[in-house]
Amino acid sequence: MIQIRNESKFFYLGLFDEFIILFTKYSAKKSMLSLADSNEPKYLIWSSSNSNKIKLHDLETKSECGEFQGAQAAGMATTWTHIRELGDTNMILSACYPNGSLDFANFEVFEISRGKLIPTFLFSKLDGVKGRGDLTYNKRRNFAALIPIQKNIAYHLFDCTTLKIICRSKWQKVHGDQIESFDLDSSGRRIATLIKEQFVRSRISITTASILPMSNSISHKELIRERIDVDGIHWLIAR
Amino acid sequence: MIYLAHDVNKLNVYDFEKMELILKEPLKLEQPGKCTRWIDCRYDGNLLASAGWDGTTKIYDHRVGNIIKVIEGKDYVYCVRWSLDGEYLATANADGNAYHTSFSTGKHIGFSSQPNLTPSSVCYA
Repeated sequence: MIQIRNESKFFYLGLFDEFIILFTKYSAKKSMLSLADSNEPKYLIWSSSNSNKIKLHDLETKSECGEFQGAQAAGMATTWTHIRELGDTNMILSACYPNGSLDFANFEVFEISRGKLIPTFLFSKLDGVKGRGDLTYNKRRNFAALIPIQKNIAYHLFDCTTLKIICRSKWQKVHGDQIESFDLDSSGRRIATLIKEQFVRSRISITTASILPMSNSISHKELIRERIDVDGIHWLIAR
Repeated sequence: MIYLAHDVNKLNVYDFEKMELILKEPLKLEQPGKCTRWIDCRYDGNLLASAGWDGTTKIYDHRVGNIIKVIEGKDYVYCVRWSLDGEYLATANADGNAYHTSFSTGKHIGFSSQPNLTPSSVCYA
């Protein structure tokens, strides 16, 4: 009997620990959701080409909130810029990619507070990046994937809850010369990449892989190889 | 599903599991000679918006392959993004404005601009 009592005591203690962990996670998430009362947008946000200035426009008051500096790479001006809301949190992610002969990329996370952008995470500038890059985000898992580094890293997987890079997926043979675009599917458990082959002018391919957050060796499988005119812009969306 | 937008103004929609084309004929995105700059899918996955260099933002129901709405503009549209509630569209335009547009009416209901800056990417929060 005593032994049984002890076991049930441990069982209840285990439940209590589980509750504490769940409560901590819930509290952390709740603090990020000050904009989550409704999904109706409160701000229109845009980033400029080249200098990556970010403008915040309050949709309720129909007024401009100010101009802020988005992600930069060593102050370089000629960039493609991307901006993305992080689900229904009050956070946004700003990324810059090279334009022309430059080969750098960077990203930064901002919190929106009373019409201002407050930097909360700054990545370090990365070299060896080709193309205009891409930025994909999955609301369900609160992950973003971004910044491919040619022949080295297919994409960086960023946990937007902990603000940490949780995976640097290795570039594989199937990724060819350039990753043109990528997207996480709606479950956030798979990622598709669009490959553009620079020296074979008429071929693109799509690969897919299951996301393994703590592993850098994610195996991509080629799904489609198509012969099309690859000049210009292509976008991929997985849902 | 996987959507693949081509610069040559076509959109192929594939079944992610079978990797087969869902629409036998690619969806035509823009006018000939004017490329598609951006596509975005609404959070429920049912509607797709494309931003084009013909100055329009087009909304498609990819399941039937139809354009259901065209939002006219003056200049190139660089980027389009749905709001989380699926009621609005934000666009970055080469005329120097980022527009806040109602999906139901297809009309611009607000805009943001800054002299000497051109919007390149846009989102809601």
